[in-house]
Amino acid sequence: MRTQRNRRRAFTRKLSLVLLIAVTLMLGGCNANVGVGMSVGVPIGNNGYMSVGTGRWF
Amino acid sequence: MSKISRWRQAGAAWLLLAAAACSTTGGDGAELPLSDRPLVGKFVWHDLITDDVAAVRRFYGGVLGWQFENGTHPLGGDYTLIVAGGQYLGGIVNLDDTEQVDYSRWVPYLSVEDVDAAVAMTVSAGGAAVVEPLDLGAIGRAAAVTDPQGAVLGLLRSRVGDPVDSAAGLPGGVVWNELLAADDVRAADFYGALAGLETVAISRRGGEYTMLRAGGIERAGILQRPDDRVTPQWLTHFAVADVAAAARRAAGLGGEVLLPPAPDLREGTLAVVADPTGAVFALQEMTQ
Repeated sequence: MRTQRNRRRAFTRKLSLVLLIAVTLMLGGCNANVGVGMSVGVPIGNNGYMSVGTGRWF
Repeated sequence: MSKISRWRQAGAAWLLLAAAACSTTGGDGAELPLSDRPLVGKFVWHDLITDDVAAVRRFYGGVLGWQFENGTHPLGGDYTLIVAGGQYLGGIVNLDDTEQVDYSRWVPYLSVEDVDAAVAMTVSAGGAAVVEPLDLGAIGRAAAVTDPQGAVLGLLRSRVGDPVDSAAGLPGGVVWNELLAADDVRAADFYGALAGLETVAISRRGGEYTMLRAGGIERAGILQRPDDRVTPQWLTHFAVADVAAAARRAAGLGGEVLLPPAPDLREGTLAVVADPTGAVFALQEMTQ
């Protein structure tokens, strides 16, 4: 009887450890679950003429 | 209740809590509610490329009330996440300028069915791949291109879903993306094919404007560029309650107001601004 209880406790502990590891891994991955963040290196062009054609902003 | 049962229930509750937190929130409580499936044809993310992260944080925090989180790039490295109204909006990428070249710009990411196919189509139409398609860990696959007229945009196919549509006019949030095209008709054809967007030409304010729709929802617009010397580009519009006040804040924080609000300019609701590092965007006044 006692052996069976000990086995059950050991199983529960192992299960808890597995759950804890799973949760840790999930939370660890969360911070990287948003965003793109690629280095898009294209020189900016000429924006200075935006104000020239104000009559064409339909 | 037995000890084992209590252990199991506690473990299950903890797991559910963690899973729920992971899917929608970040470390400081910001959210990113995601759709069940990608919202193809929608601009779903916005990255700011800049050579001075500290300067743009001060600027946008003051002009648009954004908050920021120090994050990690999906592929590793520093990446600043932008939070507007409690929701993730985009990120800030540090890219040092060279002596001759300034790279600072906003890059909107368009949700597409297949990133590789979209890049191939762009190149065959006369555009170019700026960043070849690559996997972003669990997030999905992305690339960056210049379209056939030279406008820069990102392409994204998400594996986790795209940000759902938030309440219209959320202060500081993205309310519109607009292409200033060298040839609006050709551009409409291209984007219609690229992301399955329906193109609808409408007349307004005495001119023509092209709406890009996906699933009956207007996702973006195309405007023949206001002056032929303006480089074709995607212009991201951020919502403000008072465009004149926001433009004043921008000027006071080191930005350049390229196009101040004026009565004959979309009824005084629009301003075009360059941030202190040169990235251009629009302030759009939203009425509640």
